[in-house]
Amino acid sequence: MISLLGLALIHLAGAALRAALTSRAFTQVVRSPASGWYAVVLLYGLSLGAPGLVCIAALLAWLRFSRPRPAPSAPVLPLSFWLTLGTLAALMLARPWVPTQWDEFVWLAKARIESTGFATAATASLDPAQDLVPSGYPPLWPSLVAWLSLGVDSVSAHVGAASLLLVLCVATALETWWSRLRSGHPLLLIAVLATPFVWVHARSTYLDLPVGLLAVALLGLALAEDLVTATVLAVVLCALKDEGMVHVFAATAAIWVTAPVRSFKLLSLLLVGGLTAVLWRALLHVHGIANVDHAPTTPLWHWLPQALTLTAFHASDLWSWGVFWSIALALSLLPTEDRTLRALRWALAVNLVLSTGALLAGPEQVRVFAQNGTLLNRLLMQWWPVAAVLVLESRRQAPK
Amino acid sequence: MYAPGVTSSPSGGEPKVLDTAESIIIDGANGVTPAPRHAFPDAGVSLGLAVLVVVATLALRRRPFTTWALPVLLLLAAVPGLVHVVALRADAPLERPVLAAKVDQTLDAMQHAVPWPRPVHVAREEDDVLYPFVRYAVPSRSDSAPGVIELEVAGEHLPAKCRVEAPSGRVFCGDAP
Repeated sequence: MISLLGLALIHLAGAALRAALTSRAFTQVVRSPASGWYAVVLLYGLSLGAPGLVCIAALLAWLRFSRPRPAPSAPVLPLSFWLTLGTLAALMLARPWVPTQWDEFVWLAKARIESTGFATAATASLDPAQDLVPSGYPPLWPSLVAWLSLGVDSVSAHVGAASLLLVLCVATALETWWSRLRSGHPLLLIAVLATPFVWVHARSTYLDLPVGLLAVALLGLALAEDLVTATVLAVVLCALKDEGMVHVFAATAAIWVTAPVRSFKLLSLLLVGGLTAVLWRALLHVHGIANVDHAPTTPLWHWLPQALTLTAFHASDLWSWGVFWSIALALSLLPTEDRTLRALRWALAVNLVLSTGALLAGPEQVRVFAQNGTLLNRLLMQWWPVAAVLVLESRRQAPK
Repeated sequence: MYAPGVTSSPSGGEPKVLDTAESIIIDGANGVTPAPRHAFPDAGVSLGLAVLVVVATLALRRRPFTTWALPVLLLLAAVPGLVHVVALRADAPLERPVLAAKVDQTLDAMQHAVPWPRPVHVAREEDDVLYPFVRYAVPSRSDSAPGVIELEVAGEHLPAKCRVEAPSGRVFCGDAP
């Protein structure tokens, strides 16, 4: 499978870049699934031309300057990690190599453009005459699919690449939280992973689950004070989707509020994520492209009850979520002194507030999407990984 | 937008299962069932259950047996949805080959009729089942180029076929006239 080769190449390049930036041994970082994202950030910057090149050079210099000294040694991932990841990957990849859901076609269509040459998806996204759908969205995900496919323009290669990227996101999130989750109750892990709707998205190439997984990985890395890799993920999140900025803000706020000592270094996540989002927005503006789905308007405050009602309807849908969100909500209300749990709660709460605000202050069509049932379950999918870790970590608030 | 071909309940009410290829294309990623599209006809029951679970979890959290109760409750509540995902939906593991074949045939027909990146002017692409297919088949538009192919796409059924109208060379896919 060509995409597997593409993933291996990107991972090796990323590991080399990470080793150079963090002064850690290549043999150590090459075993970390998160290393691949370093190369992704570099490729994304290059694909945006001169402005991207300048930003990426500044980012690499900043990462090199801010690396921890001496370089921390990463724990070796145990066999149980690879077995768990392998099982999940097998279940996720056991799908036909064709798109089957609406947005899959649209995202992979942009990957076809990138298959004709490096940076062509970004160029086409900035060309109003090309009439791409959706208009104005950041081009990283489809570009990445094409890079993994090594330029092969075939539907099976693109679906395979996107599925592998989702596995990479799972691996990144799992790696970040493994040291804490491995000591948990195995049945609880199975029960959380059995959430029905998750398996719809786990066997799809939609972007919501990957964004959620990278968001929880970012939070975990920031909690572990690995700010270099967290910064890399902040760039990736903001280059994948506009909602990425909300996740970066939520994670930063959660860490900031719960930190025993507040360091301004934390704000670098917000700064770098914000610059990534602003760079793309500036390019859109210069080329006269509007992102009509995410253009801010005057907030419709009277729509707040409806937004909350719709969110409650979606979250309590037994067929999609079982009682996952009810239990996550209940566990969020229990008192705890555990910093990780508090950070997870803050991240969820900030996400809820900002996303509800975006519904109120977004264009009319966003509220229509919410009412038609095509939006809120996807937002819940983005929040699910953080909520899942919250449920899995709940044993830490149980009485002795 | 209602998905064509979505199975109706025996009483003739809202469709309950995403068991057609067309319904998966349109609503497959929006929920395990078509409930979000139909404004949650069972919202009262679901919300009531959710409130009960929140209260029970808060009340029982400090009992020793909750170590087992929490995962068991999650698993039991997941069963109805998992039945849809594993067996009832048109993208369930055993149904996926049929779905994939319909998608493959439709994409093949379009890519054969309008081989991108040859310039194509999409004169009609309605917001229905075939819209995403034509977006994939013709991802970018360059309708002012010489030798452009005129394309019309409309339809609600899979697999869709394409035909070329002589002598204009105009291509019609799906149910387009």
